[in-house]
Amino acid sequence: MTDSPKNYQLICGLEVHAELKTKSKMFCGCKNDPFHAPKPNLYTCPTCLGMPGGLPVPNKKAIEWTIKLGLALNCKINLFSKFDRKHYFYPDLPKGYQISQYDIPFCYDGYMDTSEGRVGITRIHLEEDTGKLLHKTIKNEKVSLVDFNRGGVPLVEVVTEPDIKTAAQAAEYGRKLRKIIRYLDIGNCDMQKGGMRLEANISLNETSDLPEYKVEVKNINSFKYMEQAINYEMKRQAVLLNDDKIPTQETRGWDANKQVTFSQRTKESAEDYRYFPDPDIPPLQFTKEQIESWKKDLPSLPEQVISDWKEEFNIEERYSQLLIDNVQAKALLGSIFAAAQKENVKPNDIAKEIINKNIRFDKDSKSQEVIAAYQQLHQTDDLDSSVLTKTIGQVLAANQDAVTKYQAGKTQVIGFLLGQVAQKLPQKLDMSLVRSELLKALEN
Amino acid sequence: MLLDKSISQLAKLLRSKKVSSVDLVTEAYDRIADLNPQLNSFISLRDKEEVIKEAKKADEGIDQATSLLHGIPYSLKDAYVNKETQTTCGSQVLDGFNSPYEATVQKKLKDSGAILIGKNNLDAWGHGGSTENTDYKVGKNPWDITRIPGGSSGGSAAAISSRMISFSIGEDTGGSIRNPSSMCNTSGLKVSYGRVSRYGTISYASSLDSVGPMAKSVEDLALVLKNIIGKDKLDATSSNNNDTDYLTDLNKKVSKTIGLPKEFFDEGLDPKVKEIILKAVKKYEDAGHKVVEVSIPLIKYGVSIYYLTGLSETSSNMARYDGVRYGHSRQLLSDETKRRIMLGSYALSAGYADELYKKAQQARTKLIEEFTKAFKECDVLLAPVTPSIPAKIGELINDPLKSFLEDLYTGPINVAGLTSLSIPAGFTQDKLPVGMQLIGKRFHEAELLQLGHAYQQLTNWHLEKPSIIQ
Amino acid sequence: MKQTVSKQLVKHIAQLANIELDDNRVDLYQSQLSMIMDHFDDLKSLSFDDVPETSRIVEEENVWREDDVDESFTQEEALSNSKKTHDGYFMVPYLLTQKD
Repeated sequence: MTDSPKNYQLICGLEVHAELKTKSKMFCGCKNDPFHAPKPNLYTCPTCLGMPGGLPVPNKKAIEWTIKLGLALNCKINLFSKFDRKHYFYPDLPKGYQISQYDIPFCYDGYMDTSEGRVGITRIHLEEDTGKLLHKTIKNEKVSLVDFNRGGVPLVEVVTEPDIKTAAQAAEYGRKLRKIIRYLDIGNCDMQKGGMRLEANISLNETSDLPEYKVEVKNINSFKYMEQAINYEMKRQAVLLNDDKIPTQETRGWDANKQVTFSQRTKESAEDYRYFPDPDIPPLQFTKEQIESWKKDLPSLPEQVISDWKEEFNIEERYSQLLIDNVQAKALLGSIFAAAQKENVKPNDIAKEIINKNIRFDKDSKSQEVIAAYQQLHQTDDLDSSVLTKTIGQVLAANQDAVTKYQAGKTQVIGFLLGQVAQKLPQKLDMSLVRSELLKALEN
Repeated sequence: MLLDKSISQLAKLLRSKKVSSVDLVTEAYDRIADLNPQLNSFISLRDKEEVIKEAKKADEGIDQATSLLHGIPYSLKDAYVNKETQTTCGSQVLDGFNSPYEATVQKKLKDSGAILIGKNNLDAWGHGGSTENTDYKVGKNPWDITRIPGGSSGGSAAAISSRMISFSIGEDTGGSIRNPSSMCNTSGLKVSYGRVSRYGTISYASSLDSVGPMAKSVEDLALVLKNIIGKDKLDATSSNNNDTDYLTDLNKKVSKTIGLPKEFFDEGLDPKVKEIILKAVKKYEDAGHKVVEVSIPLIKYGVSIYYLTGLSETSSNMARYDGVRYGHSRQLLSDETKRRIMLGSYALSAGYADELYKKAQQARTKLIEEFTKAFKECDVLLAPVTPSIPAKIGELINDPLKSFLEDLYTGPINVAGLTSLSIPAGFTQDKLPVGMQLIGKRFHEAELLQLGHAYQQLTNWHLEKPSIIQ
Repeated sequence: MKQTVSKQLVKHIAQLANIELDDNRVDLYQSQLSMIMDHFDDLKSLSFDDVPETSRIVEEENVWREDDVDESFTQEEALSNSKKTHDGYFMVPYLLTQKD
């Protein structure tokens, strides 16, 4: 037993899977909409159901989107790439192999900057999703039910280097990644629907070198849980290491109720997936020019937009963060803000009203509509100046002590007096005008 | 015997109303009833009444028919999915499997108006060269029912040879169309890889499988080929290559240089077979074609290269048969199939993949180079189909390695993606058929068909019928 | 005589391939697999340092499809060949999903 607990560093890498929101599946034309399917096994065909004689044909859009994601994450793109077969047996894997990418992924060697430093991105590859399993007891027998609506849906996998230093950084990375994917409009990343899945490889070491073991924590479906799981693991592993024991190399899950990780599967030896290039799918070859043109077409990413909007339109960062959902929204808002600015309406005010849902904004909104809605909101009715003067006179007469207070220097009382004037007048008032008239009257 | 006539002869008779499709179909069912119990050529037959109805309709539409296959009865090797019958692929594992979709080749034939009679016996999953690795009774050779019809498309070859149907669609991964064609005295075309869509073909080895026609003559093959080629958006490996009208070019007078690869004529080749092949070579020489010797040194390793590729791919393609979505337990697979799956898994497994699968793919690159080099000195290659005459039933099935070695001359052709035509070249003294291969460059089917047709104008081997059907 | 393929390896491969082998079959397969692998060993004598692998014969590259939705099977068609279904799902024993 060591006398005092040592100082351990977290060595953590993340693997994130995100479903791409293409209309059709990765290798066939079946509809890609597993979560909203009214019944199980509605969107299947010989290819995604693994029937005898079925053949795969890759979805061009899914490939383009994967490369775009790679470019947005500063990755290098492999000009030559291919799909490989990854073999294992499981009821939700209809062909007995998953079409994935092994040694030549579309993207590699990228990075994402976080508040706690740069996280290297080892690779991004494209593969097909498996079917979904439900466990039930039917007629006293425990069974598993399989639904292949999800089988074959395009899945992008982003793997980081073990650069993550804190649980908070892991959550930040996850949130940023989700934001980018949503922003590029290639995925919804709805964790409740399985649209984004998180896995963390966690180990501890006294130095930043890779230790001999790693523990994989899987099936985490929220950033908060991931943070909790990592923190829990750090404590659990530290206790073992302090006791001169090496944590077992295994897969663990997170129990949100008990707030602990638990053992799911021991990895005695690495799985032998027997990867080989899928002979049914010709290889992919891109040109440097193609990659350059995709790079050029890439929209500026959220961080850039936030600073652009601050500079150009003086929009507060907290508003921009909430507004920048995706690329279409950004483009539309940009043109609305520009138009507003021309008409001397403050873009920041418009941003505020949209966020507070006082002005409707959706993908079909037009600049003029939005500006008009804003002006409607802040419209003031015409007020006869004589009516105003009369009302002010009435209020001052009825509130002599307030007037005295004001003239004695207690200027705050102006708020009360303004309120009194507003109460008497049913119209929508231009309060700045009322205030100036009131002040005029008080001076006299 | 109507089904002894060529497809173009039948097409003429149908259009002149001298013969009806109902006549052809009726004859097919009669001959099948008569001979199939002895030959086990068919695993499944479509309901006769239903087919006669279809034939009647075909007769009604003959005047508008655009394809010469209209109203002609045919069969499919039971490795193609169709909706009218079960598809077993020769294995208990798929017994009773009713496919909810049909293969592209089946769809094209339907569109041409041809009439499907049934599904032919085969070595299960394509695994074999003798139609003995089947769960549906061993296939027999109509020329000698104590011998194998070859395989894996043995049922198709036997059915054509005994005039049960006009043509069949077989499948060739390492010789499975050519081998039975040679052993049953029929003509069969292994197309270039990618020439015909594989969608709906139960995969044996994805980079080797070729969907091809089998019939009594080269002319028939050309006619069928015309109707089944073409790029298919459902098969990413199907080719865009420009297709010719194989039929109109068939009679073109050509003068070619024929290469004899010396490694195909060494001590491994049965002298009886060699004699027959060399006679055929002489026929070509006499007809004015030039004959040269070429060399494909890597053929020495041909079986290894072919099998390490094919077995690896089949171990992968067989992984889907787990009994969950269709089919019966995987454990019902035959020993031959289990062995192949295990060999393939071994060749891909960690620690062995480099020296086995990867090495084979490197050797494959070199083998392709050697063929390309050989084709610089000649237009086509001429070779035997198998090293030996048709074996007795039981000889090969119990000797796995011997069975593999039968693919020596055919397997490497698939490895290189080339095209090859197998046509009758003669008979042994015991009246056992011996075929020969004409091997062509990728997408040069037209050239092979011209040369094959020319040979069939000079000889009558292909017109001979087995005594079992007289 | 030492077999090229050990019994242990035969069992391991069978597991990888999801094939159940009882003990008497292991012996038979061991000798057959060994004999065949001995033949394939002929490739060992060849060396191909920088030769690229050909794992497929296609001239085309970038063969793909546009992101269009095509017709799927109906649920009945999809389930039509399965012996065990329940409420539109394929059904398997629970234990099947719990093994490693």
